[in-house]
Amino acid sequence: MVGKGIDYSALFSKELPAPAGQWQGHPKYNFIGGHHDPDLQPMEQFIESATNVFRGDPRNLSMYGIDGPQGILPLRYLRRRVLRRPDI
Amino acid sequence: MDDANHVLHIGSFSKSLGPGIRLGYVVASWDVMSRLLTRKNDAGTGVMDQMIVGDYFSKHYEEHIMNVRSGLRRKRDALAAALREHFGPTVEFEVPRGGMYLWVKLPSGVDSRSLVAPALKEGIAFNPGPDWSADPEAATNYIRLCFALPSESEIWEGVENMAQVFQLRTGD
Repeated sequence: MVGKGIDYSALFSKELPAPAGQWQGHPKYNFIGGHHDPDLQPMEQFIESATNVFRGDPRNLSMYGIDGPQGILPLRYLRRRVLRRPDI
Repeated sequence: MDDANHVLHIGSFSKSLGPGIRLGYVVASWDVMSRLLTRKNDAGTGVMDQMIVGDYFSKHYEEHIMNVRSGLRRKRDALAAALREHFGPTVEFEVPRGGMYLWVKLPSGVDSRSLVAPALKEGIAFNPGPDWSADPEAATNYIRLCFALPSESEIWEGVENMAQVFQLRTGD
C-alpha cells in the first residue's frame, strides 16, 4: 500500500479539527438530522424518469453542464413555476 | 417571488424528496447570480440527479407534495401523541404546521446536551437544541426531533424509551 509507514498526523496542520470517529451505524430510534420517510420515495416514478433520461440525448451525460452553469432547464422552469404558486 | 428584489431564495430537494439527492438551488437576480457564478468552480453539478428530478417533478410535483404532506402529518401527530402520553406535562411543545421537526422544551435547568450520550446508549438519537439554534444558550433545554424517518411504531417506542432515560437523568 502506497504511503504505508508514513506518520500522516505529523503532516497535518495543528489548526485542523480533531479527527472524526469511526461511524457506529444508525441508532434504532433515529430522530436526528433531516432523514426523510422511505415510504414517501416515489421509486417507481424514479425508475420511469431515470429510463427517460437514459433513453434521451447522450450529450446530456457527455458534456459539462448541458444547459450552462445554472443547471438544467427543466429544474429551473420548475422553480419558477413553484415560486409563483405560494399555495403549493 | 420578490418584485422589490430584496430576496435571495436558497433551497434544496432534501426535504421535498430526500437528502440522498444532493441538489440545491439559489434564486436571485442576475446582479447577484452573475457574481455567484464566478465562484462556482466545480465543473458543474451532476447532471443525472438533476435530470431525473427534473423529469419526475415536471410531471408529478403537486401530487408528490400532497403525498409528502399527508405522510408527514400522520407521523407528526403520532409524535405529538406519544410525547403527551409518555412525558405528560413535563415538557412543552407546539405542533408544527409543516416540515419534519418538532421542538420540545424540557424543564428549565436541564441541559439537553447532557442527555445525548445516555439516550444513544439506549439506541435513541435526537438533536440537542443548541446545535440547531441561532441562539444556542436560549435553546439549552430544548431538543429537536425529526419525525420523518422512524415508523409510527418506532416513534411510540422511541419516545417511551426516551422518557425513561430522561427521567432517570433529570428526575422529572
